Amino acid sequence: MIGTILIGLSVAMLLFLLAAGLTLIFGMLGVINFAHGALYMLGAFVAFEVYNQTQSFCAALLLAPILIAFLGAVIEFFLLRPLYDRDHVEQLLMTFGLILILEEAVRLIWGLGYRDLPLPQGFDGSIPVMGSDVAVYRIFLLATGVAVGAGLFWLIERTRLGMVLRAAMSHPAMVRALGIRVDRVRTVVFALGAALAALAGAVAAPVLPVQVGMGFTIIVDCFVVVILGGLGNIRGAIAAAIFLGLLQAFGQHFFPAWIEVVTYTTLILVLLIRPQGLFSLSAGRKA
Amino acid sequence: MLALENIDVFYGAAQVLHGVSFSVAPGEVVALAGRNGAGKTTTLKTMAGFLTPASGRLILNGGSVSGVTPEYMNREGIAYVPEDRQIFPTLTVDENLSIATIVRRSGPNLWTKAQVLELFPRLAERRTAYGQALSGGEQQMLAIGRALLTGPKILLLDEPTEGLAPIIVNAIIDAFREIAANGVGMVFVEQNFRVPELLSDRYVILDSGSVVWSGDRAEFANSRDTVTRLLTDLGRTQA
Ligand SMILES: Nc1ncnc2c1ncn2[C@@H]1O[C@H](COP(=O)(O)OP(=O)(O)OP(=O)(O)O)[C@@H](O)[C@H]1O
Ligand SMILES: [Mg+2]
Repeated sequence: MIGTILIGLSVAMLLFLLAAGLTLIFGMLGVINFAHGALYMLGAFVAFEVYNQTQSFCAALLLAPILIAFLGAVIEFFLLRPLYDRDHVEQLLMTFGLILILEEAVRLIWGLGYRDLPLPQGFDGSIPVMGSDVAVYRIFLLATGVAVGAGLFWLIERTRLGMVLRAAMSHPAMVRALGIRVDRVRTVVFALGAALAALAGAVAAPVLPVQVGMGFTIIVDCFVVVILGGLGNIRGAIAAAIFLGLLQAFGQHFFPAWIEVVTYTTLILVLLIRPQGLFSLSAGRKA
Repeated sequence: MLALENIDVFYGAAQVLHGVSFSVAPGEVVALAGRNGAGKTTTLKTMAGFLTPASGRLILNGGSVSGVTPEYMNREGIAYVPEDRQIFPTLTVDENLSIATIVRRSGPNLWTKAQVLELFPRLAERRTAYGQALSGGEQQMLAIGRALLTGPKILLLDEPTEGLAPIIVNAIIDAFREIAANGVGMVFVEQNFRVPELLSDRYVILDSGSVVWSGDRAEFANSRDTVTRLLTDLGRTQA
C-alpha cells in the first residue's frame, strides 16, 4: 500500500515538473508547447551524457537543466517570438515541428537504442517505511518534487518576476503599459519551463529507459494534468498530478489493462462537466 | 510634450482615425470628447504606443516616436489608464501598486506609494485586498495610482468617471486637480463635458475619427451650442 502510494507520488512529481512548465508557458506566452516532452527527453539524454563524461550524477542534475534552459531561451527568441501575433495554429505547428527536429537530433547523436543511467551512489538501496521496503531513490524523487514545488511557490508569490507573471496572465498589455519588457519575461519563462522539463528528464533517467520516444509517453499524461488542473493554474497542476500519479500507480496494481481507459474517461468527463479544470478556483479567470 | 500630427489609424482595412492632430504639454489638462465610436479610445491607444499610425506622426519631446512600443512610451513618461481599468485580479492592491515600480525610474515626476495612498485613502484601507474584490470606484483609484507610480509627465485616462457614484467622481476630480497641480499633463476622454468643464485647459471633440472642434476655456464658453450639438445625437442626424 505505502509502496504503491510512493510510486504514485513519484510519478506525480515527474508529471508536476512537466505540467508546471507547460502551464507557466501557456499562461505567459499563450502557446501550448507540444515540444515540452521533447525537452524532457533531451534533458534525460544530456544528463546521461554529462554523467558519462564526468561520472557525477550531481553534475548531470545541474547541467542538464542549465543547458536546456539556454536552448529554451534560444527557441523562444528565434522561433516563437515571431509568431505571437499569428494564429494559434502556426504556434502549434512550430512546437510540433520542434519535436521532429529535437527527436531527429537525438537520434543522430545518440542513436535509436535506449540508454540507462545507474542509480547514483547512496541512492541505490531501499529503506523500510511503515512495513514496506521503499527505494531510497523514490524518496529522493519526492523530495525533489517538494523542493521544486516550494521553490515555484516562492517564485510566483514572493518575487517580482512572480508578480509580473501573475499580472501578465490576466492583462499582458497593461503590464507593458507599466514599462515592463514582457518580451523578456516570456523568454525567461520559456527557459524556466524548459529547465523544469530537463530536470524531470534528468531525475527520471536512472529509473526510466532513456530513449527517443520517452517524451511522447509522458507528455500526453501531462496534458491530462494541465487540463484537469485548469490551464495556467499551478496549484491545480499539483493537485491533478498527484491525482493522476496515484490513479496510475493503483491502476497498475489493481486494473492494469484499464489504466488508459480510466485516465481518458476522467479527462473527457472533466472536459464535459468542468472545462475550466477540476481544481481551478475561480471559473471566470482569464487564461 | 506629446503631439499627434495628422495621424491615420486603421484596424485591418477599416480606417478609424482621419488626420487627427492635437497636443498636450506637461501640466496641461486636455479633454477629449466625442460620441460612442468617435475614436477616442483609439486615439489614446495610439498615444500610449499600442497602435501604430499608418500615416502622420506621433511626436514626443520634438522627436518622432511612431511605431515604438508601449513599454517605451511608459518609460518616456506616458502613463495609460485604460477604459476597463485592467486591475490585476490576482494581485493585491499593494502588489498592483508595487508592480508599477519594478522599472527603475528617475526624474522630477516620481510619486511614492505613500503619496498615492494619501491621494486615495480608500486604497490604504484596502491594501491587502485582491484586485478582483474591488468596487468600480476602488479599481479606478487603483488604476490611477498605479499609473502615477510610473512617474508620468503625461497621464492618458479613458473615461475615468464612467459608471461611478457621484461621491467617487468628486474624489477623483479632486485627485485630478492635485495631479495637475504637480505638473503632470493629462488627456482625458469623456463622452460629455460635465467633468472636463471643471478641470480642462483645452477641449478637443472627435467625431467619426476626425477632430471636429477644439478650443481653450474661453472659446469653449463661447461655443456651448456648437459643442452640445457635436456631442449629442441631434448633431449626428444633421451631419
Ligand atoms: N479592435 C478593433 N477592431 C476593429 N474596429 C475597432 C476596434 N476597436 C474599435 N473599433 C472601431 O473603431 C471605431 C472607434 O472606436 P473607439 O473605441 O476608438 O471609439 P470610442 O470613441 O472610444 O467609443 P466609446 O465611447 O464607445 O468608448 C468604432 O467604430 C469601433 O467600432
Ligand atoms: Mg472608448
